[in-house]
Amino acid sequence: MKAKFSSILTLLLAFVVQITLAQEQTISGTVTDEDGLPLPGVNVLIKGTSTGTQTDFDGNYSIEAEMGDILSFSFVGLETTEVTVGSSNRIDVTMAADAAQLEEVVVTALGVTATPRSVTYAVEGVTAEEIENTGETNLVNSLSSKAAGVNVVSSSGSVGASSNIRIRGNTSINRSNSPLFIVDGVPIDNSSSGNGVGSVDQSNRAIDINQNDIASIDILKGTAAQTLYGLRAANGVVIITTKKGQTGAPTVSVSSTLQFSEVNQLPDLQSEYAQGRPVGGVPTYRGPETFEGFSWGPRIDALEYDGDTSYPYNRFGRLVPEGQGDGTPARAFDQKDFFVTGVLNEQNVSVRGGSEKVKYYISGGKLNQTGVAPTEEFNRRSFRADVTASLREDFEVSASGNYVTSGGRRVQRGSNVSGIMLGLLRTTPTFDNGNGLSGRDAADEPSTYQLPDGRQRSYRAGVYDNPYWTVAKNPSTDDVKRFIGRLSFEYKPFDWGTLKGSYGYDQYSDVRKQGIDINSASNPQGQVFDLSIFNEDINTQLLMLFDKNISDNITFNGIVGYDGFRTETLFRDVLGLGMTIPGFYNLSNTATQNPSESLSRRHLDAFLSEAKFGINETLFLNAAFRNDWSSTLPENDNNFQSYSFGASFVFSELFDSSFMDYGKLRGSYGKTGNDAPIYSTLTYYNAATSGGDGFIDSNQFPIFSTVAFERSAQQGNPGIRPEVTREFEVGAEFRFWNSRLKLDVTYYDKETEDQIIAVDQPAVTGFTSRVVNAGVISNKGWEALLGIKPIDTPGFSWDIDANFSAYDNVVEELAENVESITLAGFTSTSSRVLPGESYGAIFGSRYARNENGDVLIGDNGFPLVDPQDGVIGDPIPDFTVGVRNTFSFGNFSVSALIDVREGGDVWCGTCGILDYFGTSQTTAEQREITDFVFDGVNANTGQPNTQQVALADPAGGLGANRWIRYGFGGVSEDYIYDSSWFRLREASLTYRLPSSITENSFLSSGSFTASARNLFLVTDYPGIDPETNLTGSSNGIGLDYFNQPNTKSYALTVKLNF
Amino acid sequence: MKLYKITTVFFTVLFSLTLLVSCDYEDVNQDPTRPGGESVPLVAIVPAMQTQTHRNIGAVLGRYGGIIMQQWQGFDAQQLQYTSYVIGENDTNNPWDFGLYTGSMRDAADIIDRATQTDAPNTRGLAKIYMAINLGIATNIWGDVPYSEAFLGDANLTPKYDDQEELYGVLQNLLSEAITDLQADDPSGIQGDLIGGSTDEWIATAHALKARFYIQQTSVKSDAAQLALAEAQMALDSNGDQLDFIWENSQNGGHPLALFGFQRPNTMIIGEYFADLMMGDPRMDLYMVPDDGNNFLYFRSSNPNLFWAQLNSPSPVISYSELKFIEAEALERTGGDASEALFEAIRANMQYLGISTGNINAYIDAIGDVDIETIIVEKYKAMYGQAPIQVWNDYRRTGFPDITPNPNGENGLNPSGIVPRRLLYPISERQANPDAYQAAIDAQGGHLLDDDIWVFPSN
Repeated sequence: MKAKFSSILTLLLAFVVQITLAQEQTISGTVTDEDGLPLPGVNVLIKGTSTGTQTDFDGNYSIEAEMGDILSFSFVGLETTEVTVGSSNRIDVTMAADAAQLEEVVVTALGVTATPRSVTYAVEGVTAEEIENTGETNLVNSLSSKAAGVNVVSSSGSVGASSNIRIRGNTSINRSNSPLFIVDGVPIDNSSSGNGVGSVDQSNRAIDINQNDIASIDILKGTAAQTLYGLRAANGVVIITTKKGQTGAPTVSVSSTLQFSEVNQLPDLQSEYAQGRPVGGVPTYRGPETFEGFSWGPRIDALEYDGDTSYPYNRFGRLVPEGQGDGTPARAFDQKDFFVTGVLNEQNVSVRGGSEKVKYYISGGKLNQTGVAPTEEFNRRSFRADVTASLREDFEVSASGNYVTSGGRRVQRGSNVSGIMLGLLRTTPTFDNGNGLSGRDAADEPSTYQLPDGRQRSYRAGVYDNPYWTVAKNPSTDDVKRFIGRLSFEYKPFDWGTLKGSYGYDQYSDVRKQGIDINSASNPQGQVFDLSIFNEDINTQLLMLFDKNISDNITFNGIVGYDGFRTETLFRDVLGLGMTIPGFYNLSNTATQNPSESLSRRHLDAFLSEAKFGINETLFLNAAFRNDWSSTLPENDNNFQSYSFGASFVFSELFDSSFMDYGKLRGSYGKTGNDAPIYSTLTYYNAATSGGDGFIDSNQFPIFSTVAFERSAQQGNPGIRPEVTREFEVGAEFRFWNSRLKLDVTYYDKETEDQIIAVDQPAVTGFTSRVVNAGVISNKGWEALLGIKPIDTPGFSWDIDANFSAYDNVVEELAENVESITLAGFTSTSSRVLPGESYGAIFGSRYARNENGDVLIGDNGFPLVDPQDGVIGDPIPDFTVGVRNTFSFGNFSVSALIDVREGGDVWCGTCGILDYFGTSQTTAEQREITDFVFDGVNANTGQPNTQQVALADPAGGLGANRWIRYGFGGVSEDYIYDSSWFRLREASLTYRLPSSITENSFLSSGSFTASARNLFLVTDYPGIDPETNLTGSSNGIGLDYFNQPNTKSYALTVKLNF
Repeated sequence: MKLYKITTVFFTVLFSLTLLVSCDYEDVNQDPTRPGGESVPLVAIVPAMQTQTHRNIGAVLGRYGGIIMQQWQGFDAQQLQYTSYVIGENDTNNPWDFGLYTGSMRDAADIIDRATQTDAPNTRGLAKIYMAINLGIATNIWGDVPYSEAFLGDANLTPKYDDQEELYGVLQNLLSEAITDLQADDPSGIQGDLIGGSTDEWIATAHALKARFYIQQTSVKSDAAQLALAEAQMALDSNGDQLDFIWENSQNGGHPLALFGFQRPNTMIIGEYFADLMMGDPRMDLYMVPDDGNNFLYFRSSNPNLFWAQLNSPSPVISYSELKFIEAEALERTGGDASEALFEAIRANMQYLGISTGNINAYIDAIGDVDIETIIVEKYKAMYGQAPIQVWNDYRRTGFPDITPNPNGENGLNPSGIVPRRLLYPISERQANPDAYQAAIDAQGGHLLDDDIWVFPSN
């Protein structure tokens, strides 16, 4: 061995000497595309030799060559360029698109790259650039409006809030409808937990991905594309490829972003009427000490202050009728000054480089973000290393490790008396939450929200939390520590066969704490909730890939392999009730503690295979088959099959056209299965809970120092079968005039049957639900991509990229005696699945109507409510469009992404409650109307209603009020709004440092970007930005009940490479 | 060749990792954090049944009863709408589903099955008493309700609604069987009873409950009073015989009324009618405190005197006082002298609350002629906080106390605007058991708030 080493050394030395003798020089330069963007990975070869290199991430290369050598620059999809080495040792090259070839590669299932022409289903790529300048912390949000058929709705503008992503709509009632996220071939967890109707916005775990590490994203939308991934991919796959090391000197990239965010839309509040209610038929002022919740009091301009500065609720004194005080007129306060400017600060650094044999990429990122609510914060730190080593010519191993810590401090929202928006928007205009201060100053000053005796200073004396109280005294923190690791190898013993194996490990702990201080509205005695989540996913994969030409015109590619998945999630929590020391959020400071534990685990194993034939590069046929075994299915019947087949036909090969470069038709059909929810085959016993009353907490055993158990409300079903999704899709792709115009159209038709759902069962059976196979959900839709290059000159170019999606997502049938299943929401208004209705249909109270659809009006002139609730809204948009315009001129580029959504109902529960309490602007404008005639017919006579009514006649008391008489929040139907919007989702201006600057510095390249997101929004929706969802990434949609508002933001980013 | 060896090792390790996987999942799909049915003893289920039952008495259904009967009134939010009789199909879902049928009644049915299999008659007797209490609540509120085909899981997914008249027979049968079971020789005794009553005390309580269910039938059964009287004589003899479920002085184990006070502050206060009625009554300070305005509060966290609004307030299974009111009414209806029984009922209640003897005597001395109205109005005062559903029952069969319906109480759920006679069946039944639900509505001529149930006809 030793002898061998020294001989190699000798050889190397000899080589070096030879080089020196041959008068070589180092040639270096930058390779860019026609837009001036650097091209990484370009092969640079000295023609006629095997000496070569590749450009680095910034398009730079250096190579030893002699004068007279010809350097050949080649890159897939670009025209190969040759340059003869002259006297200069710098050669910069601009490479043009190869109109004849056009063959960039796309990443398909299992990370296999393929030429677009051979792909038989829709695949859409998103580049690193498209997600880098979005200003979004959450990767899921960055995908918004970027791809056809991909619909993203963020739950709110809270920092770290989860987002709901759907590819081609929803397919399942109970399962998550989120796509599978795969990083470098290994699936990672993107779950979220804790996003109910109340409490705080929690993250979805894809937020742990540092977007700066991403090289590209490919989205597989249809079933056929997913066959090889199996059941976890039933809702599409997001394939993320990270940046990798490359041969050459290390390049260091640093980037820094500073972003400012503010609230982009809030409901209109009134400022004319004071806190109070009618007493004895007269609107009467009733102050905070009366716990009054309503703003149905007298006109504010009929009141003045009494000047008593010792009055704790108002620094000007009590409100009294005009003439009885000190003459200082009463005033209305702006509740919205609670919100502040959020600041995001992000730094990233990465190093990439390597030798011929070992390549590495190392990165670190740090993000700190404060929200639009005081004290709200999100942090993320990420470290990543990725190493690839070629141990032999035919054997390569690679490993990556990514360590992330994320989390922060979240704020209360939603249906929750500690929620910010609930307390803020209900606050009567005559009460100043900040007591003269606003924003962070008010949150930092306890006297704004706390009385000297420790009780709460709020508009109704602690029934709802003062928003400043809740951000200061109801802290909710989460601390995620996550490790994602991968080991893989690639062994190529034959030129037609490659063996690939990988082992992926994704593990995190999420330690959460939620404190509710003494005197808080939601628990005046205080409480502490500790929750720890431990999640572990292990993915193992072994694949044999074949690549062989059967004859000169027939190619064959094949895969056989094994895919395994083990997951285990442990939840451990303790709820401690009754604190003694204020502000000390520790379980030792609570009087009683209730523990709970749950463990979910699932094993999946699969055999998979695929065969693909190409004929004359014109016709491609493929078929895939997969068999899954799942631990959640009944033991005797725990496996099921998925298959798909497809064809693509590049018809443009058959003729020569002066304007059409490329034309392709494709079609595919696939069937996949899905397994059952865990533990649903058996009936269990749970620690007993005494509930049945939605207004108060359950009594949770152990109580009375006694243990108690009772049978679960869900009946097990040992006869569950796997569910089945079938999908058919066809598409066409065209490119015209040297790809100046590109069009890609897809139609799909998908149906999921034998859904495994926990259906409601009448409680009188002793169970409220059971898991059954039932129900059919269909998805049909169109997707289109359009790319136009109206101007394309060396100095100036204009690109338009548009995507269009429209789909119907209908529940075709449910089980017998199952008329609806609630996905999320309230007893009064919810998002449900009902036969014949759109998935997630909004269900709630409505007016009684006759056969003609006329509202029935009672003799008192007010509409009657139907005793039975029904469907009142369809949350599925008619269509969505994303249009990006990019202009490049010289070193500048400007980009704007416009996002249009047409249709899609949202229930503004907030609006109903604000009308009820009398704080909405509507109630200021309409409360004095006395001659209102409701549209409809009299319920008894059938004649058109002519009865005039006063909308809020104080003489009739609260019960006669139009906004109160129908109960808390009114009739749900009144608060369904079309959420159509037109928004400038992203806009950016980038300036690239010209080579004249970089050449004479240590920099190799650099750029400055100014960007904005949500710069403007046009919508008729009266609440907050209608891109919102109360229950985060859950299956329920279209609900807005005191959700945290969304934001718009402005950012500056600097990127430097050296 | 070293490289080759490394790769061989690496390759072997990875491959064997892969092979370690097998497709036999054994207990992967069994939840290790929850027991299966076979390992749960009776002693672990009885506390669940009892706690849920006493919660049913004092939680949302109790509040509906008390609000309708104007002992309480809404101050804002949902309780305000309930005060004007906007109580719909959504508002009854939770108590029906998780309070009663898949709550305490599920537990009672489960205990009855298990106690039969393990030969534990005393515990079965207790479960039958609790089944009767809960079924009684259900039929008092909704008339016809499922029972004979209920609790069978997926063996019967569409249980029919039993006729209310039959259900009143079932209630008496359950209690008679309970008495037999409690009299049986059972070495393990009553297992898991949180109240700790003796078999004799439970038997006396069963008789008291029989008396309660008979007196509820005064409008529809001619010998109801006679039967009630006979049962009353076999029931409790003093406050000392009364079985009380005592809630725990903690938020987790607290009385539902106190929990409501803490968790929904100032959304429900004392009803104006009741406050006026209680002026000068020695119990007034134990029931309510004035707020800063003109209202009275049933709850104030810092006030330890409010008898029914403490976290550890009791919840009687049936009070001795109520039994004496039943006896007084039965005597009055059967031509006897009701006054002694009535005075004992009032005395028992006041003693229980801790009123001084002097005040009790003064109060009783002031009562004039005794008639049904006197008895029911006194019962209305005494049952405050402990049996709001019974107060509503009494009103629906006697019309006392003579409360005025809410002037804004006319709505789609209560078209005639009268004091509600029942509640709507829950939406869960409409959607999951639609045929049986519709049949029950048809059989009773409707289920809106102003539709009568059989046992409480309004004329």
